[in-house]
Amino acid sequence: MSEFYIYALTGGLLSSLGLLGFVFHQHLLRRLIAFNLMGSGCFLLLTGLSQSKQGVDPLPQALVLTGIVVAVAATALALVLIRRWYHLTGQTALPEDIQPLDSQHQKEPE
Amino acid sequence: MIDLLLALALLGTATAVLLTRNLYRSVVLFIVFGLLMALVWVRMQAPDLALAEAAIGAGLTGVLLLDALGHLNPQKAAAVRQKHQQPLLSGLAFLLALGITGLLWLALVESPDPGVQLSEVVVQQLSASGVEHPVTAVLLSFRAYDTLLEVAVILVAVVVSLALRFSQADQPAETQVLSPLLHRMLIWLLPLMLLVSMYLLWIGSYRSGGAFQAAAVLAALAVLMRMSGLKIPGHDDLRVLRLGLVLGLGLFLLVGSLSMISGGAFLAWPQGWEGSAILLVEAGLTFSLGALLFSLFEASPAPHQARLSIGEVVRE
Repeated sequence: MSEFYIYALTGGLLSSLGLLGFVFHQHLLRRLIAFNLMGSGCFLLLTGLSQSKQGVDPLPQALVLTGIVVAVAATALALVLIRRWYHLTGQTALPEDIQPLDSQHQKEPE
Repeated sequence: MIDLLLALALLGTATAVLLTRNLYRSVVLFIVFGLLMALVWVRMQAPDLALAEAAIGAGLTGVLLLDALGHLNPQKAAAVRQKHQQPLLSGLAFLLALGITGLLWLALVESPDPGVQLSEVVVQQLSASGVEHPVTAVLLSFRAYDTLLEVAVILVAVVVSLALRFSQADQPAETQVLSPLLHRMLIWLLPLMLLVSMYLLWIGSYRSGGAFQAAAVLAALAVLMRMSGLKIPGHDDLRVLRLGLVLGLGLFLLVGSLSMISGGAFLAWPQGWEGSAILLVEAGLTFSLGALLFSLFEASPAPHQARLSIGEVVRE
């Protein structure tokens, strides 16, 4: 078993860990982090699987390089949206996931 | 052995990121995870990815997350109680994740042998690309279309972020760290970072490095300057910002269509000038991606609650 294969398996596990976190967490920031974990798992899977078959391979490496840069752009956009949402509603979770303690606490969107 | 330990550390850190109750700790652990990923890329013999992951995955993402965390007021968010998970839905979600894990592992164990050895094709065609480093060759010669679209995607993300930011009528975020120590250090650090960035750009043609890594260092430099309150040249001028953001993509498109004049294909670099064309495009990309990544940091809305007035545009 080559070292690349170990990382491919790790990538598979990481993706499912990230998916679990993405489903179970309600705080939007934690969901974003879980989603990023999932992405890292995919990168590992992509590179590891290809390299375990045919040695060091520049093709998946180049693809993952673009992936890393796109991931940070998507993360930053998500953060802007999350902060905008917090700015408007004062909440850090989506309305489906929260219930107010009493109706007075629920802020009207400005 | 070392790979096994590193893989276990990666999984352990990921679990800790997801399970810890403290949000701040979760973010810091995620930065640790990014650094571990950089180590993994070194072990995978992908130094390009290690450079990018250390600068972007751990550095820039960490700064963005910490910045956002500081602005999400925990007291206010605590006014609502989180809904308890319904056991049925949780069970279904767990089964879904388990199923996906199972399928992934099945695919890994039973993965078919690819008919084409693409890495060999890359090695064969390397001399025609104009650069000596295979990753750069794939990025800017063989799969230049992907890279072009990637830059376009990032540009769209930045434009949306900036549009959201400018629609909000309040002061720009105060994220300054007023420390004399930082100022003294930056005097030494900033020229060094600029030098490293240019070096990474230059060696990209024959070794690990290139536009993306150079841009990440450039963006980190700008973020540091912004946080320490130093003036960034051209920062106040909106025209400079706009020009900087589209420069890379524009240059890419322009140089990419040059060979179409003489009947060549789109994104086929001019014959005999491949190396120079790639370096030119990479230089434009470095500057633009640096500006784009920095704008993502800049676009973060202000921390305090402010009244939104539609139609009023704040220009920094």
